[in-house]
Amino acid sequence: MSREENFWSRFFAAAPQAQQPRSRWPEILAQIETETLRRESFSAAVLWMGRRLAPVFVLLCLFVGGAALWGSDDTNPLVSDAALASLVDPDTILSQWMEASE
Amino acid sequence: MALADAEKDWIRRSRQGDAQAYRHLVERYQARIHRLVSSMLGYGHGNIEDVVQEVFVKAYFSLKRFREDASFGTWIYRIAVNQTRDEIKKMARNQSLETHLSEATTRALQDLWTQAEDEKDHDSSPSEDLQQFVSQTIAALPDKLRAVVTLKDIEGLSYQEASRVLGCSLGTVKSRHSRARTRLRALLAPYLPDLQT
Repeated sequence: MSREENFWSRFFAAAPQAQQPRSRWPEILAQIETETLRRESFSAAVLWMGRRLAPVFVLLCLFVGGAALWGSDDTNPLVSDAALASLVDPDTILSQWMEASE
Repeated sequence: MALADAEKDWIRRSRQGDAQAYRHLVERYQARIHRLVSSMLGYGHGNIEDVVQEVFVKAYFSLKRFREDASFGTWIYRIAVNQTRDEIKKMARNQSLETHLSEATTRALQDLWTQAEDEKDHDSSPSEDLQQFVSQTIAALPDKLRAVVTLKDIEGLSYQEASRVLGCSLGTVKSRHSRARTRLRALLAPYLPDLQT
């Protein structure tokens, strides 16, 4: 070992020796129990909210989806008035085409 | 049951919520964690006990993430180093080194240098002033360098073990250790001019 390494080993050996600490177990256990309770009550709250809100969410989705489908009937070009008319009376479309081509 | 097996058993039971099994782990590692935190924070720091407590509480709730093939000692050291570094960040600034050493402390430091010429152990226990100076010198290092010095020079870990605790490469640990030595040389230069050369 070089002189410098020898010096450093003596230098760090002169660091204060930490006194044997008293057991912190009672405080650690108390903190673990408090934290466990806090986490459990948070999970329970999330679960409660989930159970309460899930049916509301499903109803909301059904309502929004239903409203969107209902509204789309008026705007869908596949079921426009002209198309409906052609289904009822194909001659109407033919006569319109004839007029346009003249 | 061998100690390593017993430790694995305590870890397994602690994971299942057995607090009393965790007590064994706390009692096995508390002194080491206390020494590590004291060295990094500085021995007179008022929050050492609180940091140690926080380390064990954090470890308890993180046990699910602990890999059984890893070393529990390395794992909990890592939590302790991170927790202590958080505490250091809360401190306004690094502690400054006492610039006016007493004559006795300067002489004690020079004696260490003189004694370092030979390999023989000298039994004299360090004076309280010298202990305080060593503690202050370590505390004057930036926290990353301080962590390496604490693990390597105080706790006696190898570079490899220190790199696992700190979660960085072997090269980084060696580089930080070298930078720490350079800083320490500079801090001691006023009292030990020979050390600089």
